Amino acid sequence: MSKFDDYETKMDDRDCLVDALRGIGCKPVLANNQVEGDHLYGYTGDRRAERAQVVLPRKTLTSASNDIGFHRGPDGMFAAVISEFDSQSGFGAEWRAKLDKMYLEKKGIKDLTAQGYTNFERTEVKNANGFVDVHISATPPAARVQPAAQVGFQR
Amino acid sequence: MQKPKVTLIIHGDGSGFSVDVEGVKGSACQRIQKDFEGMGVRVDERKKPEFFEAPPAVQNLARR
Repeated sequence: MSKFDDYETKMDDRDCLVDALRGIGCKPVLANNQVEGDHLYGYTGDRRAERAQVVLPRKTLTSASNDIGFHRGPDGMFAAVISEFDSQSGFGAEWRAKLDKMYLEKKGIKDLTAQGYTNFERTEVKNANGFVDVHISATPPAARVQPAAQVGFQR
Repeated sequence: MQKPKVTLIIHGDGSGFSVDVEGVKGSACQRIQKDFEGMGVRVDERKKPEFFEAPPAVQNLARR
């Protein structure tokens, strides 16, 4: 029985987390119990003590996988709950980095759209370390770029 | 005049992001930077926000 480990993340937006998981090809499911989270299951169908609010069911991963979960901590941040086996079988640090990157993309577009940014453009640029950075350009809302002296000024 | 443009750069290793602000000066720059506060890990600013500078003559006076 492979034990589960918690991996801290900087993700606190559940909807963006779900979008990001879909964005990297996973099929996330929301737990019925969004307060405590649903129990995770091992690859044999054994119920584990670990709980999560967002779950990647084992059947959607690999034939030998356990569930992967995302559990919200007291600080509001999600922790990834991944078994030792899965973290060594394609769901390790590299997978988590890919998820972090996709999350930032989803969160960035969501937050900026809500704040009135427009004209989004997405490009990918290979950086000096060989990684592919994602550049998202946008036009800020007029109220942001107006000089402070002109905001609310009426003669 | 350059059109205002903000670029969110998400680092390829997923470690964080940085922000480029172009065509915006002064306090507006700071307002834009605040728009990214809720996003999580920020690693660095690729370009420093550009602030209005005092004319050279005034800067010389300040140095005296």
